[in-house]
Amino acid sequence: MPNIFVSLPTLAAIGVGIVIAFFYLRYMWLVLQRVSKTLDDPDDGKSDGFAHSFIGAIIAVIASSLAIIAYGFAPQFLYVGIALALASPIAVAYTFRRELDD
Amino acid sequence: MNEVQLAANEALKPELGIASEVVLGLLLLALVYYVKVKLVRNTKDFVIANRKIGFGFGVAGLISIWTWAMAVMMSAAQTYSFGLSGLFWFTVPNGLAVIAAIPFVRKIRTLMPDGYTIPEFVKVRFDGNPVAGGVVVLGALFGSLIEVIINIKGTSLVISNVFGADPKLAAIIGLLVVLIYSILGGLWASVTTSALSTLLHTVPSAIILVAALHYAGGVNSVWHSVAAQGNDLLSVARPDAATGFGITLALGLLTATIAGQEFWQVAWALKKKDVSRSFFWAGAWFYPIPICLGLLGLIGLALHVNVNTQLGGDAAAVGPYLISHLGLPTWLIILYVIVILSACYSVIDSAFTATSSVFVVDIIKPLFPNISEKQLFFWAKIPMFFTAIIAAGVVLSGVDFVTIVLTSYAIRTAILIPLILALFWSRTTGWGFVGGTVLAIAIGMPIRSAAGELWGSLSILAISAVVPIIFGSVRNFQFDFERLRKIKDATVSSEAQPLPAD
Repeated sequence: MPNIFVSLPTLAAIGVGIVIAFFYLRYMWLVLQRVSKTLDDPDDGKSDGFAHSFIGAIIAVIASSLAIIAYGFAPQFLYVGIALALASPIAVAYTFRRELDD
Repeated sequence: MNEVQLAANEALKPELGIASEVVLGLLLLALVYYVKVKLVRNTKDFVIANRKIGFGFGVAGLISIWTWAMAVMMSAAQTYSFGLSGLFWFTVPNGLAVIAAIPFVRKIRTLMPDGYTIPEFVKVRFDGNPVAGGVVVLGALFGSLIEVIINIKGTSLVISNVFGADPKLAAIIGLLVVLIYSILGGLWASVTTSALSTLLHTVPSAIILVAALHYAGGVNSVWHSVAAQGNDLLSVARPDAATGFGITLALGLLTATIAGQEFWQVAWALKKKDVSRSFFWAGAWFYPIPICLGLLGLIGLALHVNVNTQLGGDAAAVGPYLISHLGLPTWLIILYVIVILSACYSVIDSAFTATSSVFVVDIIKPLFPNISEKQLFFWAKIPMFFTAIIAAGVVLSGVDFVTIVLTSYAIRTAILIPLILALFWSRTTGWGFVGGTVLAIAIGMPIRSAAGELWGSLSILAISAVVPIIFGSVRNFQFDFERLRKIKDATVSSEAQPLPAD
């Protein structure tokens, strides 16, 4: 293992990161192109939903608190934060994808 | 843990630090060039993105706008100072502040669909009361200026600490980079570059932490070393974290989102159907950034890094210090610097755009109501330039900018409750708004300096709430919120300009 990639877990994180970055950038680019074509389209008039956001907010706060609390349980839980940091761009890529589908 | 040797990386030369700033800037500039050609045709596109920001860019942009360099470095610093309690009290209120803004941004978007700025709302809400408008304009401009100063200071500190580069040169280059692309693309530039920055805050952070844990001896070694120190470092229940900084920070964060022009302008720029879900997803998926980077604080504790001898007395330096001294490959150190730089850049560009919208809508338009679209588009860029010059002056002169920070903090905190009342309580009056804000600053700031941040903040909030309520209860006044809905779009002064590419 060349020292430049540090360790096998680091190499795995790099691999996963590249795949995530590829999809993130792809969807971001597609949305950007679509926005440029629909810039003057009128608003579709759909209203803003709030109920799901409120329930989701409570879940998000509890989940993030649990993630931090989990650090204190056992050494392996220190990887929770790293996994979440990789999950975050996946979630954002999903929002780009949703925007394309809207 | 004794076998881990902390030593500076000899390959980190000043040129490498400056090159990192420039390369990141060029990458963002390439993106903004496309944005400018395709999306920015007139003032409305420039300051409010034609209200066409959708779910994806809304979420990605908000995450990055909220990820200050401080969020990157302070998550590690608070963990290093208070253990997991520090990380808990730093992280949870941070995401919550974005989510807590949802009822307010949703309300303002419903009440005033064609709005741009907080001062614009305040002026209409209080029948053009010049004092109320003036106080809010001042607060918005000061707030944005201070965001630029703090983040450019962060840029220069990281580049100078990690690479030994001249901090003044690093500050100037950072400012120039952001100024150029902000002038080209306005809010579209801010949101699209921020979306790219969100990717840079997350994937690289995960890779860096996996490598850092390896160099620190592995998760077992780090965890057991921290556990052996006791002191509840692996518990989130330490009360000193809450009283030491947690409660004050939570209040400050709520003020920053609910009374921050940077967030209101995104609320007005989003497609109406995407406002709530964008803020919610941004708050929720912001959390992993400090949760991941906070691990550096645990590594600092595990390796017994000394705050005085190794960090120059500043716990915020624990992240940059560890990354540059753990023995990580140079490319990973540069990647960490890019995480911080992208955080700085995304906050600075949103602050530049905030000054632009306030200047155009609340200063230029009222002074010259018949100004042509072309002239308005030109003037929209001027405040960015002046903000950059003032920020450069403050950072280069080395003057203590604590006074600016305190003034900005005081105005924003004092405006928070009167602003909420103005949104939700029809009896709030202009003079109640002004009286509450001014008295809260005049009485609360001395209390803050005498009794500390917590009591100071609570006093400011209490006074700013009580005064408008008294004024509103005494006067028999009811504001008709329908008037807000009739406000015309402030930047639409002529027909849309053709695309530059056409």
